[in-house]
Order: sequence, then C-alpha cells, then structure tokens
Amino acid sequence: MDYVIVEKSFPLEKASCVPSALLEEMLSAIQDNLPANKVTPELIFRSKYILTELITNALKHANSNEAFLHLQISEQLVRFIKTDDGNKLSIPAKYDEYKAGYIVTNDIMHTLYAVDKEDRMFFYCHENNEPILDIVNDFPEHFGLLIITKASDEFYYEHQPSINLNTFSVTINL
Amino acid sequence: MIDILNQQSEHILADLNLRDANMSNSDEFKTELINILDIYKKKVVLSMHNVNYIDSTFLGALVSALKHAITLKLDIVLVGLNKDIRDLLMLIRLDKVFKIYDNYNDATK
Repeated sequence: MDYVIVEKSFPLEKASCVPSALLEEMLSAIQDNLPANKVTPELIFRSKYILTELITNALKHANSNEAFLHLQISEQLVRFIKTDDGNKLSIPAKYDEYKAGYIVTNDIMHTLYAVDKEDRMFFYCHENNEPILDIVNDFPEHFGLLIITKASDEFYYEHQPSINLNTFSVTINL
Repeated sequence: MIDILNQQSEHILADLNLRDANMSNSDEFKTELINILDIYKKKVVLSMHNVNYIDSTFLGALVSALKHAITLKLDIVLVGLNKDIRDLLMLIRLDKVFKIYDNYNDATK
C-alpha cells in the first residue's frame, strides 16, 4: 500500500440496524482526510453503501463476539476492512470451470463469482445480458454481497481458522 | 409506516413514512405492503420521498412484495427516490425490475 494518510478502527456493537452516527463518523473521516478534489459524490455514495452492507452483514450473519471495522485512507485508495470472530462465510460449492470461480449467486440479472487466490476469495460480478424477467421464480432477495462487489474495485474474503478470524476487505481506488 | 393517500380506480397512492429504511423495519414494511396489495387488489404507487437511506435488507423486502404483486397480476411503482437510492437501484439493476418515476403525476399519466 502507498503512503497511509489515516488508519482508524471502529468497534461494531450489537444493534438492530446500522448506527447512523457510526456511518456519518466514517464518512466524515474520509471527507476530512482526503484532498477536496478526491472527495467526489461518487466516492461518498460508494463508501456509504459499502459501509452499510459490511455493517449489516456483521449485525445479521456473523454471530460473532467481536467485530471491527477498520478504515485505511491513502493517496491512492480508500479501504474498508471488517473483521469478526463469527461463523465462516459459506461459499457455495458449485464451480464454474470456464470462469474459474465458485458461483455464489446466479439470477437473471447477475452472476456473482468468488475466485480463490492464495486462500482469499475475490468476488466479482458478471452482468447477464438482456434479462428476460421472470421475477417470481428467478430473482434474488439478498443483495448485500452484490452491492459491495459492484460498488468496489476489489472485494475479498479471507478466513483464518487458526485464530478464527473472518476478514472482508473492500477497496475503492481513487 | 405506509400511509394511503388516495385510492383511484386502478391504483393506490401511498407514502412510505420512514427516514431510514433498514433491517429494523423491513419485515414490518413487507407485511404492510403485502396486506395493502391483498386488501385493495390494485397497483401501488409508493412514494419514498421521505426516505433518506436504504439497505439491502429493505430492498429484499421490496422485491419480495413485488413478487407478491406480480402473482396477483398487480404492480408496485416507485416514485420520489432521492439520488443515492436511485443510483443504488441502478447499480444492482433493480431499475429494470421496478417502474420508477419522479412523482405521482408522472407515474399515473
């Protein structure tokens, strides 16, 4: 990583929804520590929804005792890292030989893949062309991973069983 | 949570009275919206102009209600979305699933 401007960690407490004060604090940290010309509405939009979904994931799924959100800001990127000691993320076993990745979700709009590189699962998404809507039978109701994947430039998940640590790392290039 | 403002022959105008649409209120929202579809059996034009922020759980509830509407041969139309929410729907291509208009007048022309 290039020269780090800021590194901050925020504990994630149990809550019924994403605490707006925490979200505002993290967005303010980005706005306050980057040059004005880098703080675009698009950066704030992407950051807001990545943070929302990372925190929502922590609140809904992880079943953890401890969870943290770490923010790294450098001249080249903004990175959000969520860590927790909860359940390992379950990646479906269906493997696509052609795309060389696991199919996490597949519907009329998108196929979301997880590609294993050096024990890290990198998410990426393929937009399916000209979808024929059959919404009742073939449309998802879970969008968290998709939002993070599409709002970021790099998104990976890593599980370290020896210390029971889940890491979700999400990067936006500046 | 959902205020019915007006009932026309083919549709209902409704207002979502929430600022933060998130996992804490998504189940209640889904139940209310499905009840409105079941009771009135009309297309629902739902204004979200009060909503400042939405999360994936709430979007899931919205899609689930739309599926229910389609099984009844009805529809849910969204109006009054702020720019962030509209951009989020476009990001994950939900703008291809929901009919989206700026306001009630455009939605009911």
